Amino acid sequence: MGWRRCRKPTNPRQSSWTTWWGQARILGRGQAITPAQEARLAVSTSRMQEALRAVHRREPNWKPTPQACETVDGLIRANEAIAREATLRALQRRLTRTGVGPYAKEWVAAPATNRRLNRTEQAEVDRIGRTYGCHWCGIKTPGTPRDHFIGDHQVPRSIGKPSRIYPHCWWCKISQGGLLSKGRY
Amino acid sequence: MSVQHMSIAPEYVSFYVAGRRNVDIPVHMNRQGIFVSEDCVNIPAYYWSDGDTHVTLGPYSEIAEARKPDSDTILNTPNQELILFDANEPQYAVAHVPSTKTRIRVWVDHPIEPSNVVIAWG
Repeated sequence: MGWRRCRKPTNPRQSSWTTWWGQARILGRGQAITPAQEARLAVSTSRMQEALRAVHRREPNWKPTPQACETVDGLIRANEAIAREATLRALQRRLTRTGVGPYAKEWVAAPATNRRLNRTEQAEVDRIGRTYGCHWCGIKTPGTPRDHFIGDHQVPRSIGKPSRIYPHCWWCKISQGGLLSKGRY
Repeated sequence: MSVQHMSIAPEYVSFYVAGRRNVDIPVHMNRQGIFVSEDCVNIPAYYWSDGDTHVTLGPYSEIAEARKPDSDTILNTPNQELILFDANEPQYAVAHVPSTKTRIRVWVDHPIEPSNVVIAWG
């Protein structure tokens, strides 16, 4: 009877972890893990693996950004971050010009509910747009009458639950809508 | 054949009118405004974060618009219906039309970000 290996690390810099009778071993140290954490860990791991499989079907050599963690919660967050990144990448590969664009640097966290952006969030989207440009074409003028960059949900709401909002110019937004609609209905 | 009114907030700042599903959406990377093909009309809308776009859809005989339409085109309507949809919503409204080719006239109160759009068929 000993420590049970639950999964392989997804990248070399992330330490493997094991669980055993309410204990998790992360970076060689045993840590208490509650049943709730164990369940969240299992869910986040399976989501991450599913997202990675989706990317690797189209891009076998793709690797997520390395994550380091020392606690169980940190490991769960790392799994979720990898799953998000892999989902975005898979979308980018599947639908050209609809995922995260080459000029994407900063983003605004997408509201948890389906609400509109408030003034602060819109100002932040505009700031990012004026600094780095539209995340797809890099243009620094939004092309809208009120000079607001358009918030682009990633992933698109029609495909999944968005986690980030990037600035989009009018032209890219319109064309993305057309591409997403094409063949769907 | 009644006039339909709706308020929508399309995420992709545009919505489409087509005679059937699974159509290619006309888009343009240099121009702004209403884009038209034989199968679909792409109409710009108000930015979703700023407010709703109010859309009126109905037969031309029941639409009271005095000025010249911003877009006037003939659309293929093989199923004798007209579908209003966008990238996220498969159907905002459906109107039944009498023939397989339908004249569509569109009025917008702003060429890029209209808050009021009137679509008349027939």
